[in-house]
Amino acid sequence: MTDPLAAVRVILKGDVVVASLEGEVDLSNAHDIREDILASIPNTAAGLILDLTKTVYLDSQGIQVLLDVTELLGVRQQRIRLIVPTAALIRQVLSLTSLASVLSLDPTMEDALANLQATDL
Amino acid sequence: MNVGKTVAAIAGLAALYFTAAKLGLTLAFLNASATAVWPPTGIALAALLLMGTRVWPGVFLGALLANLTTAGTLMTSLGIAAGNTLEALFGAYLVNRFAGGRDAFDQAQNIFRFVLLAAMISTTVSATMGVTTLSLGGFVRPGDYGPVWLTWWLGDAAGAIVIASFVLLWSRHRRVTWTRAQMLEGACLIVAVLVVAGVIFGGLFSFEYLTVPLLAWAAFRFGPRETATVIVLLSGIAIWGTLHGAGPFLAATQNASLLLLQAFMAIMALVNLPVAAVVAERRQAEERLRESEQRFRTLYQRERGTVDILQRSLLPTRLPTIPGLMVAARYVPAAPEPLGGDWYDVFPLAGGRVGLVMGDVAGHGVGAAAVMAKLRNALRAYAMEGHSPKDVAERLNRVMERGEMASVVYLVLDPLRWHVSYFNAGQPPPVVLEPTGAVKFLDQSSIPLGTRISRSYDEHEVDLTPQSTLLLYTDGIIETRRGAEARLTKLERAVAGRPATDLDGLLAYLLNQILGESAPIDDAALLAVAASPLDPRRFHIELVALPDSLAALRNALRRWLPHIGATAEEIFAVTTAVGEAAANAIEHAYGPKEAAFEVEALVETGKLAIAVRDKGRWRPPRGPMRGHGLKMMRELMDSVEVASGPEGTMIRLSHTLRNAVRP
Repeated sequence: MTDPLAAVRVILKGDVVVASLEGEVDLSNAHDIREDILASIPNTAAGLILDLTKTVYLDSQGIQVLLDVTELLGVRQQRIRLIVPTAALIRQVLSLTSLASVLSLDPTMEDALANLQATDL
Repeated sequence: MNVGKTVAAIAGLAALYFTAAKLGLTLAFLNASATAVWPPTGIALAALLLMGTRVWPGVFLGALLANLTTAGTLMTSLGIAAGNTLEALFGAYLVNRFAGGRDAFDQAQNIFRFVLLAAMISTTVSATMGVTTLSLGGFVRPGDYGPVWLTWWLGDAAGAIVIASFVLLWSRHRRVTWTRAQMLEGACLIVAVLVVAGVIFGGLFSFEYLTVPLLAWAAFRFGPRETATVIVLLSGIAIWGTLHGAGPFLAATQNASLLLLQAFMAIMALVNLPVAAVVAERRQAEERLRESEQRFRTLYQRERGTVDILQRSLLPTRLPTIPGLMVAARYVPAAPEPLGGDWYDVFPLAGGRVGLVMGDVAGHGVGAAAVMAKLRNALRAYAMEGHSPKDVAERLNRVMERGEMASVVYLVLDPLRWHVSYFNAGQPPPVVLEPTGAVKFLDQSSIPLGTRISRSYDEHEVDLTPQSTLLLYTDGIIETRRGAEARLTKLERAVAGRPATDLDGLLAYLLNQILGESAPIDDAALLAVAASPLDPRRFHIELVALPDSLAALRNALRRWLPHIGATAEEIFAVTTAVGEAAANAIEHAYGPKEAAFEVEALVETGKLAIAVRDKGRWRPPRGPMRGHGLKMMRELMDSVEVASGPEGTMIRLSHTLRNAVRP
């Protein structure tokens, strides 16, 4: 079924997976969203760009999803960048919980792509 | 019947036959062996019909003994006994074969056949054999053959009719279920028979037709059994009177008198017994009709009860609480009897949206109610699975069996944006009452479900003016015997300009305006949804402690917060903080019954005070990141207080609004 709250749309840019998370993530759908994101990354992909431009709501469970994905990709030696526009409301949530240092945030797709290539594993 | 019983029956029959024969032979005036009164024929015939022809030796023995002890020789007695026995066997055969056997006197047709076959034809056997035997033995002079034969035959015929009818009817209908009044009437009848018969045959007023009203009385007020009894009684008294030289049947000789009398009684029986049978048949038919009517009524009521139960169990007993929305519904069963098959439904969907359904299954009764149950549940299931109205319609169409048809309108309302997506398969167009009082119709529709003409259904999307009222209804509301158009206009006129502050009042008003005092000719259902009015000083919501409630809570807050002047950032901050507090309440709401939590927000002098209460206990942060929620609340709000007690946990949040609206 389709989750009416949020959807994960996946495209491939070369060997990089770009997953766009659109909608709201809370306790009710965080688990499914986590599975959707993880399912979108094949082992052969160099990395993941998770686009949160259209993410309008993210609670602590949603943040936990971002942390889990980041941790797992680290173990799998795959790179990850999150796109969060500077003016996005969720940026406030991500920054005030001092998670900005753990998560790799970029304001635009260009920055994300550039940073992904530059990141050492 | 075993041998012992058969022997006993034969012996009993022989004794009875002997007694009756001796009685009859005392009245033999013309010839010692030929009498005008011969009840044994009736006894023998009835016995063979009731117990089977195997008891014939009883007839033979009784007749032989009676004749041996009266007159003639062994040879004549044997001949006469053989004639009597053959008469009974022949008569019983004919009656069994052609006249209904032992139940011959229950039907008028069979009575006539009985008279012809048993009384008139089979009796010629006994008369011929008896009189011939006597002639051969020299007991009847050749010139007397005719009169003796006639006496014999007539005596047997009268005996067959009068006695056999009496015995058969009483044997086949033994139960007497008379009321006190009937017993009194029966006693009156017997007294009347005795008095009238005494008057006629005692010679006071020798007019034999006075017996006719008595027989009619018995036939119409009682039955064949009682009529036969009156005939036997009358016959007895008549014979007694005639032998004493009184009454209407006095002729030149005693024998001639008795012959006249017997002929009269046989004819009375021949006329009145069929009348009694017809009356009884009609009475039984009426009784059967009443019984079958009763049975059908019971069946019908059982079906009505089933429809009622189904209908009740499928309509929502309590409409769900949807944050930010008021919902009201009415169901008016058709008169004179509800038909079933109409239903409405309201259920919350993910994202704070709400599903609204109005449906009507073609047909009525248990079948329609069952189809309705299927569609209602299928629609709910598909809708809650997240399918769009178009997909719901196409899936519903697939669960329709051949011959089933239903019209359904399904709307998904997003109350935050006042956006509606819907399909309408053959229902009347939902009404939108705008805040200005203007009336619009959602008039896109397609053919009903189950027609098999189309497998694809169109979904329509409409943006409504916020704070509109949506009205769904079945055609029972707009249908009259004069057609739907007039009522639709009436509905439009009635709803136009009505404020939607009180939906129950609105529906009551509409029903009164459209239907008036008259009940609808089809079941009628109404469902109305409107935004609940916002209070700029207080927000309150109570929700089930399930993760799906979070979206509903956010949507309700997003609708209310702009109303108190909160900025986009503030709306996000408050929504996120309250969401965390509520998620905590949901995560800790473990219990056997459905737990709930409530959120109350009050605005005073630019300060927003929010309380999130649950019935669980505050659980300390678990795991490395579990504390994020609490941290987020602290960062987003001015202050956060967690108070945990035995009653549950309360989280208090406060926030100073940047540009508060003064109410």
